[in-house]
Amino acid sequence: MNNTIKVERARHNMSQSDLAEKAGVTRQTIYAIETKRFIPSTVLAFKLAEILKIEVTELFELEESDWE
Amino acid sequence: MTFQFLPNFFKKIGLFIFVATGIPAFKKGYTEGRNAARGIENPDVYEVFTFWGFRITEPIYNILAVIGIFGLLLYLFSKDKKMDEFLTRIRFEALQVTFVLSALIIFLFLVFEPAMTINAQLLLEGQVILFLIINKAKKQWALPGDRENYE
Repeated sequence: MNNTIKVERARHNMSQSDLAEKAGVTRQTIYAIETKRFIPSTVLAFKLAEILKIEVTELFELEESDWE
Repeated sequence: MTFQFLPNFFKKIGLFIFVATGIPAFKKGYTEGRNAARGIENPDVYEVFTFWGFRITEPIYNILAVIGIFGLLLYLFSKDKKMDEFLTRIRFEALQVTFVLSALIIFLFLVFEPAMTINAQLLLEGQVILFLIINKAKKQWALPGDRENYE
């Protein structure tokens, strides 16, 4: 699953730590999501979208391999 | 559902108890191994060995083992400083690796040293130590550097 967290973070001038703190998770988690090593739960995905003031569907996008 | 109901500082207390009571066990294992290598027989009924001037007999050794397991339980029942879904997954993966490695070690012993016996307590302690190391390493590897934090 693709995501634009890194871009949105930059837009809001936020570090991974800032975002992690606001979402109530660890920095490892944000890093793992950004590097596509971890797919967040629905709740966390909605939290991140709300913090970054963007729609979930704009923040996360399915890619071809997700259908395999 | 979680069984981690103790405050986080119990983790340090538990680990300290576990390691401290494990030192005599390590000394015992080392002494027995050395004796075996030198062809000296260990007394099998009421073993006595000294540790920093203290005479540790078999009953005391058993009590220390029980206290050590208690320390381990304290560690396991203590809350983590911070836990989220990704760290939960890392913990699960560490458990899987620990299980696979344990099975592999037992398999190797069965194939190459069938006569070898292992104390259940030592096996449990070994698994816990292995799990802690793997979990810590996986957490460290998942942590980005400071540069990446702001990229």
